[in-house]
Parts: sequence; C-alpha cells; structure tokens
Amino acid sequence: MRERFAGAAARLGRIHWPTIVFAVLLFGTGLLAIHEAEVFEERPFRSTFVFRQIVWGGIALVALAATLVPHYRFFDRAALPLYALGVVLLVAVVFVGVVKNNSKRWLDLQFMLLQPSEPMKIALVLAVAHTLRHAHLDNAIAYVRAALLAGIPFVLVLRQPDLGTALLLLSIPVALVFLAGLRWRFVLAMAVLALALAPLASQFGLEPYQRKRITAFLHPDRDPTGANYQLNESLTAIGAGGADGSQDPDLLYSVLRRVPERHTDFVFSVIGAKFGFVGSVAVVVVFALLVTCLFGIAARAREPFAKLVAAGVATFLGLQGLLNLAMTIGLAPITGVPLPLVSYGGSSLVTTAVALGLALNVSMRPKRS
Amino acid sequence: MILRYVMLVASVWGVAIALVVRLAFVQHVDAERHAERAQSRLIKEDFVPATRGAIFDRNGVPLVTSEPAYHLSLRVGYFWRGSAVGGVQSTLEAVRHAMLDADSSVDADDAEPPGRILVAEVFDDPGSFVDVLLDRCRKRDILRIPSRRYRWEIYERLTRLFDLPSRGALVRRLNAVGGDTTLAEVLVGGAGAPLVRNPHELARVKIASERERFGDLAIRIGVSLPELLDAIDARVASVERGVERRIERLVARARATDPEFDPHAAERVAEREARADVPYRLWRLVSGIDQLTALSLFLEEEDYPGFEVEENHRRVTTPGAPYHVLGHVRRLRPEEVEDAIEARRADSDVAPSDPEPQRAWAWRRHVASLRGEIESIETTIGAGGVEAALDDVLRGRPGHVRARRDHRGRIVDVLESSSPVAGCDVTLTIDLELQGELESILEEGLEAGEAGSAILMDADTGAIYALASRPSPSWDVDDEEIVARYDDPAQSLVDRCIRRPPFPYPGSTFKIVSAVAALEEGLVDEHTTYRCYHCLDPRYPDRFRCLGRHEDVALRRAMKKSCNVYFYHVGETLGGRVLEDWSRRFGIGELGGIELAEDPGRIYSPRNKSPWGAGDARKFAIGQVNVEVTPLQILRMTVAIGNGGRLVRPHVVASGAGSDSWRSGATQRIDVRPSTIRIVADSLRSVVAEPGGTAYDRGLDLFSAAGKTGTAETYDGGPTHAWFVGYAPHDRPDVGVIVYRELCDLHGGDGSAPMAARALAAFYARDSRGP
Repeated sequence: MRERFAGAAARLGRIHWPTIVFAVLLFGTGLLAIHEAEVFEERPFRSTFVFRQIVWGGIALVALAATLVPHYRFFDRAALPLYALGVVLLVAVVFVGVVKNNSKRWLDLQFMLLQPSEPMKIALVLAVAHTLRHAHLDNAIAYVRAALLAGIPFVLVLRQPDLGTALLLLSIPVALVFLAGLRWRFVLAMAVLALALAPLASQFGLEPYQRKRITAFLHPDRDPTGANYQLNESLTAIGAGGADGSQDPDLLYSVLRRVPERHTDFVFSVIGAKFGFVGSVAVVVVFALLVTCLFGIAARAREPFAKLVAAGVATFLGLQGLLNLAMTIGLAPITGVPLPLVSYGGSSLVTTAVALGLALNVSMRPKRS
Repeated sequence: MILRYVMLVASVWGVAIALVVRLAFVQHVDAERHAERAQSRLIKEDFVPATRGAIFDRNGVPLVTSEPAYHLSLRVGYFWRGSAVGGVQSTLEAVRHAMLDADSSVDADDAEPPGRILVAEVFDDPGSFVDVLLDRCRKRDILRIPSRRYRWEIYERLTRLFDLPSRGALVRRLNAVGGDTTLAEVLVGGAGAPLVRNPHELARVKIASERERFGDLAIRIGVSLPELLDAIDARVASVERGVERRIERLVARARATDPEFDPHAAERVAEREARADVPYRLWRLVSGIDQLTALSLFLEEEDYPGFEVEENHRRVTTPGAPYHVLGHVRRLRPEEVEDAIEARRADSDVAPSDPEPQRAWAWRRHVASLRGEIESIETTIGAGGVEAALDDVLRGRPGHVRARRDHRGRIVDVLESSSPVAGCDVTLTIDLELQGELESILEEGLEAGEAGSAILMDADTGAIYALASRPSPSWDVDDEEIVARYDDPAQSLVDRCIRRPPFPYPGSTFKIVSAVAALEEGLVDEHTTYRCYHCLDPRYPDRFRCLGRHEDVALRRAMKKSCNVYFYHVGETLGGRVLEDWSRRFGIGELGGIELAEDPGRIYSPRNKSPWGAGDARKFAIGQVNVEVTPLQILRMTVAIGNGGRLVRPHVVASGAGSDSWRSGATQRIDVRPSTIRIVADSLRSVVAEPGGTAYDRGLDLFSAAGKTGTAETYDGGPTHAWFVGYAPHDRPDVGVIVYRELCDLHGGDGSAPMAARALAAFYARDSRGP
C-alpha cells in the first residue's frame, strides 16, 4: 500500500509541471476574458458564464486527474472500444441530433448538450496511436488502417456540417503517420496529392456557407456586412485595443457588443480589446509554449504508443488553437472552433483537460516499468 | 526521428510568429483606424426638424402657417420588453412559437393559430392569456425556445411579471422540476415554499393595473382606451410589416449582387440590419395632442414607460385657401425614404462596394445618418402646388446634434450641434378674397357636377390674382387620398387652370393666333374676304360647317362673329407648320413658367402627325383637334394681344426666396407688326362691344373689355366646352380673365362670358383703379 502511494508520489513528481502552469495561465486568462465579454449584459447575474466556466474548470480538473490514474497502456487497450463508442455517438447525431444554426452536431442528454465530435478527437488520437504503435517504416497496412480510422469520423463530422472539427480530426492521423516515420518520398507525395485535391474537395465537399466563408477570407472587401461581418467586428475590437488595451468601458462596449460569439469562438477578440498587443502576444506565446511542451513530452516518451498519444494531443490542440487565433485576426477562414482552455464551453474544456491528462500521464511514466 | 518533432514544433512557432506579426499590424499600424471606428460607434447623430416657412397672399393674409404640434410616440422596443402587458404578450408569443415550432404532435385543436397576440386581446381577456401562460406552458416548452438568449429574456419577463425575488430563483426552481411541469406548478408547488401564492391572481392584477395606466394615458390624450390599444397594435403591426419589407428588399439586393447567394445567410444578415434600429426609434402613435397635455406628459414621461412626447410642426391652412395653388405636405412613404437614401448615396463619394473596408464602414454610417436626416423632414415634403414647387425654400434645414453617448445611450459629450434653420416665408400674388369670390362665381355659375375653371391675371406682370378650378378637393381629405385622386386623370380633380382638361381644345379662342399668323404672313389683310355658306363648300353642306351663314367676311367680322369658314381658308393656306410656329410664339404648346405643375399642352402638325391633310390645317386654325391647351395658355396668349405683343410670364409667387425665377426674363416680346396687333385687338374689342359680337351684351362692355368666345367641339355628338377669354380695359389692360366650362353644351358667349363679367366686377370692386 505504502509503496503504491510512494510510487504515485514519485510519478507526480515527474509530471511535466510547465504544461500545467501554461494551461492554468490560459484558463485564467479565459476567465478574465469571459467576464469582460459579459460586463455589459444587463442581467442580475451578469457573470453567470464565468461562474459556470469555473464549475466546468473543476469538472475538467477531476477529469484530468482521473486520466492520470491508470497507466497509459490501459488506454492502449481501451483505444479501439473508445473509438467505436465515439463513432456510435457520431452516428447517433445523424439520427437524433439537435439542430442549431443549421448544423446538427449535438446530442441532447437532458441535462446538457453533448457534442460527440469533441471526445472523438481523443478517441481518434488513441485509436491511431494504437494502430501505429508497432508500425515500421514500410508498414503500409498500418498506415491504411490509420487513414480508415480517421476517414469515418471525418466524413460524419463534415456532414454535420463542421468543417473546422473535421479538418482537426484529419490532422491527427496525418501528423501521427508523419511522426511514426513515413518515408520522406511518401510524405512529399501525400503533400502534393493534398494540394492537388484541395480545390476539387472545396468544390464538391463543402456546404455553400463554408465556401462563402472561404471566399470571404480570400476577398475580404467583397461584402463587409455579410460574410465578413464577424471578422471585421473582431478586427475592430482587437485593433481598438491598441498596444496596451482599452480601458474605456464605453469603447469596449461599443466594439465587443458586436463581436459575435465573444465568449466562445471569438474570445481572443475580447483579450485583444481589453489587454491590447501585450496581452494578445502573451496568449499566443503561452499557447505556443504549451504545444511545445506537449511535443517535448512526446519526444521524450519511450514507448511508441505514448509518443504518438502525446504527439496526437499536441497536434490537435495546437492546430485548433492556432486555427482559432488565426481566424480571429483574419489569417484563416472562419470555422467554429474554440480556443482550447480559453473559450467558454464545458465539453471543449473537459475534452482539452482529458487530452492534457493523457499527455501528462505519458510524462509521468517515462520508463518502461 | 527527433527531427520530425523539431519540424512540427518549428512550424508551430512559425505560425505563432505570423500571428504576432499580424497582431502587430492590427494593434499598432492599424490601431488608430480601428479605434476611430470604435469611437465613431459611440457617436450618434440626431436631427431636429426645421419649421416650414409660411405662405401669405398678396395682402399679407396667411394662407398656410406652421404651428408646433405634439405627438405621442412609442418606443416599440421598450414596449415589447418593458411593460407588464408587453411581458405577458411577448412571453406568450415566444412560448407559443416554441410549442408550435418544435412539436408537431400538438394536435391541431390544441394549438393556437399563429399570428401576433394583440395588446387589446390581452386586456380584453386577461384571464385566458394568463391561463395559457400558466397552465398550458410547460418547462419543456420553454427549453424548446431555440435561442438561449431569448430564453433568458423570458425568465426575466416572468420574474418581473410575478415579482419573483430574482431570476435565479426561477431558474433554480425550473431546474428542479420535470419537463412536463406547468409553469403554474413551478411557481406554486415543487420543493420548498411557493414562489408565488396565487400566480393567476397576481398576473391578472398586474395586467389590470397596466390597463389602468393605459386608460389614464388614453384619457389624458383624449382618446378612448380601445382606440389607444388599437393604435398601439396597429403601430406595432405596421412596424413589423416595415421590417419585413426591408428584409425583402435587402434579400433581393443580395440576390442581385451576390454571386454566391445563400438565402439562409442573406436573410439572417438582412434581418439583423433591418431590425437593428427598430427598438430605439420613435414611432408615431397619436398625432396632434394639445400643447398643455403634451407638456404635462413630457414632465411625467417616467410614469408612462415606453411612451414619449414628440414635437414637430403641423401645417395649418386658412379656410378658403386654394388647394390647387398651395398643394399640401405629406410624409415620405417608406419606399421614398429608401429611394431618397439611394439617390443621396449615389451623390456621395462613399460607395458601398468600396474595396477599402474602412470606407465601407463609413458608407454604412453615412447611410444611417442620411436615414435620420431624411426621416426628420418626413412631414415637410411638399406635394403639389407651391408647397412642392418651392419645397427647397419652404423646408428650411434640420438642425442636428452629434453627441458621444455611453453604452446606455445617454449623452456624455455633445461634439457638434446646429440649430434648425427655419424655412423662408413666401408671399403669393393670390388675393385670398378675390380667390374666394372667383370660386363662388364658378360655384354659382356652373351646374351641379359640372367642371370648369377661371383665372384672373394681372395683364401687365402676369401675376395671378385668383385661380379657381372645379371640382376641387377639400382640405379635410386625407393626404394620401388627395394624392391618389389628384394624380388620377379619371378622378377629375385635375387642376383645370394649368392642366389639360379632357378634350382640351381651345375652339374659337385659338382664332386669335390664326388671325395674327395670317396677317403677319401677308396672307390676308384686313380687307380680304372669304365667302361663308354656313359651311366651307356649298356642295358638302355637312362638312366643315360654320355656326352661321356669314356671306362675305373679312377678318374683323370673322372674329366678331367667330366665322369658321374664314379661318378654314386661313388654315388651309397657312398650313400646319406655320400655325404651329405661331402657336409656339404665343406660348401655346410651351410651358408658361408658372411655379405650379403646369402642362405644356400639345400641338399636332405635319411634323408629328401623319397623314396630314388640308382638313387638319383647317381644324387647327379654328382650334379643334390639332391643338390641346390649358386655360392659362389661352389667357396668356390673349393678354399678349392686349399688351401690344408682350407675352407675360404667369406666376403665383410674389416675393420670397423663390421669386427670382420669374423676375429674370419675366416677359418676352413677340415679333409682330403693331398694325397686326391693332387689327386683332380691334376685332377682339368688337366681339364685346358691338351688336352681333359673340360676347356682346354680356355685361363685359361695362369694363370696356375685349375678348374672344370659344365653343369647342369635343367628340362626335358630344357636348361642347364654353370658353371666354379677354382683358379689360381694352386699350391698356389691367387684368386678363378666362372662364372655361367643361362639356356644358353652351356657346362660349352664353356659357362663359357672363361669368367673366362677374369676375371682372369682383376684380374692380377690390381694385381702386376702377373700370
């Protein structure tokens, strides 16, 4: 018994603390931003979102801690069943999903709306890592299996429609196959193929509104009131923040009031407006550091499965965050992906926490036991 | 293998650096631009309408003035959200929407018919509405409301309606019960103490007290409660319709301009734009409440949330003021507001499709400001008459206030303001009393239901003393109705002084032009005779007839007797082109320059009519078929003879900023020989002064008038128009007069000349010069 405690303490000692520090920093910034996004809501409990986010933070912490308990090999064994469960949920969305804003992404669990594409990210990381764990340089079958594993949820999510999450899901096997050691000539071939297929895919695979967003991104001047409304409002908010943030409450109100989804997808606009260049760069840097830490954990891990899991987590969190930041300041088309740890939203927060938990789990168990 | 990790990390930092560079651009280089845009959002512009200028008659008697007017207006947004009734009403609507929308299993009998719930309905039967809300609405219905934001709004309304301690209490209670629990059960039962003891009773009391408040307001502004409620419901409905129209327009525009039109998205954008300002704007509810009530309501505005007193100006018309001359003012129709914005937008240098986004924002601000400005002058658009002709002068310029406001819309800092500049007053040449008399002469002279017109004009200057037309619209008709009838030719409200009447032929009055043309072209002299057989050619007694058998006629007797045959010969020899030239020299077929919406008339000649035969020229010369005129043109032409060939410019504006237009080039001289004028003037005098003249012994000689009668044929077998046009005194005319009677089937000498004599009598009774 005592040994077990001692072992746990030792493992906790080896945990990658910088990751936790950066994650907590981002979460704290998020709380400030969510509070700011709500200051002007004239309600008795204007900070209701902050309060809820704190509650969700607690739940996320529990989930993270729970993820640390079993050895990561447990996840290796559970990978495929978890993946199957994820696919079942995604299929359920097709039939009994809740429709909001013209897309069908949610399951109504009575007490909350679950977005199955969120846990699917984790299940996919585990499943792909599981498939590729013994892959050698020329194991084509493993690569094909990884592609198939990703393909099913990709199609299901794309049809919801949710382009942003679908691309995130696709990025996981791509990065993991790359890290598993795909030969360079295949890497090049895949890159060329992807570039060649992209226009075709955009023509046939996308919903009109998605195409429109991409058009709007490529031609920002075409329709300032329509498709680019969100982006323009977001840029105004960030720009009005200037170098060190805006302190004038009326000014903040006038810009933030018009930023859509200001406490979720566009939370970075609030940060830009309130904390200025200093604050926004800090968020970008901390986020990049967090992703770097995660890749570092992956690089240091001993077992292929552990490496791949940590790398998968790093990939999808990193891509999601960068995509969100880029879209907020007009460097990427607008896709509805939240900024991990910062944006308001329970399922996103818990998913991120579990993902971080997996990476930390790997960092706690560096040696073969 | 570590290389690949390094590559991925490097790419993460690469993107991060790109983000930082972009942020530096947005927050340093572009910061000022964005901040400016943000600041400009806090700055709002309001417009203060200007007083419209008054209109006076030539003696300084006011015809139309502007007086301050007060209106009770509605802030629809507040009304929707704020009051208890608004609360019940919109809560019910939302809940019912949810019930209908999401659950098709609700059987048809159970479901309420869709449509707005009216305030009047809520007041009529508060019980049933409260029952629907409390007994039929279940927790799951509320949860089904798609927007979370709206759901919170409903919690808030329920909290207010039932005086709950806090919205949180309601939410906690709702969370604790099952989906099938009714709202009443939530409020009364559930775990713990009831939130409300008797919600039905409470809501009813609330609604009753609200009803009292409305009743109080209704009494103060002098309408009945149902009237007030209907007005509210009608206003809210019309606002809603307006919003829908705007959405349609915006969507249609998007469809036309957007290559990748997406109806869903376009509708969302359009709805956002169309609804954006609706809650904050004032919508007129009851017009014209008196000043004292307005003031007291203004002081107690806080007691009547959602209502506001608005001040602007109202046009007050003096009884007897001529509608045809003055016209009226009316509100801009919504589509006209849009058109005006489009037109002004086209003028400005800011374009909607400006590639620079900052400029596009400027454009939107610009449009918003235009809308405000245009709507602030909505009541002062002149329609018809002097009001329209001198609209620019009368309107003045609205004042404006540009102020920075805080996020609740309270003014923090006035940046710029200007007072409204009142419109200029205008004095007309119209003599109100003479106008009244001329109208009564017309009224008495015409049979019931008969149409006609009469004009008295200063022969020297062209100033119009009186301008009467019958039938005339009365002032108490609704604006819109006047416009509809005025613009519709079939409605016979057309001004018969300056517009072409039906079958607008001048008849024999046109012989004046033919006579001048014949003399000037050297075709005839005063001794030339033609032979009249009661018709042009004795072989065809039914074609080209004359009213009498005049035997050999020379010009003077042809005019005096109004012999058609003489002028058939004149017309045939002169030809259509020459006649047209002379008509135009006398201002027929041309605009005379009066400030009102004048009709130029129309001339048919070989230039625009084919085939053109000898018969056409003959008809032309006696003022039939090929020449269409307005009475004012005929008067102007005739007075030119009395003036020795000087063609005056008719006008109704005597002084004021709009009068410059006629002063320059007020009259023009027609290039005719004095002998021609003398011969024709003499013949006109003979019509009145000599036995056998067509207007002899009609009382006109008393004023030593000269003139010409006309009996215009209209259509085959139809009744004739009776004309008399003339001036007095014949040697040095003071005044020109014309009387036109439409389709009266009388000879001009019988039908119109006596009325012209009465008009002259009325003129000289007011004019010291005397006959």
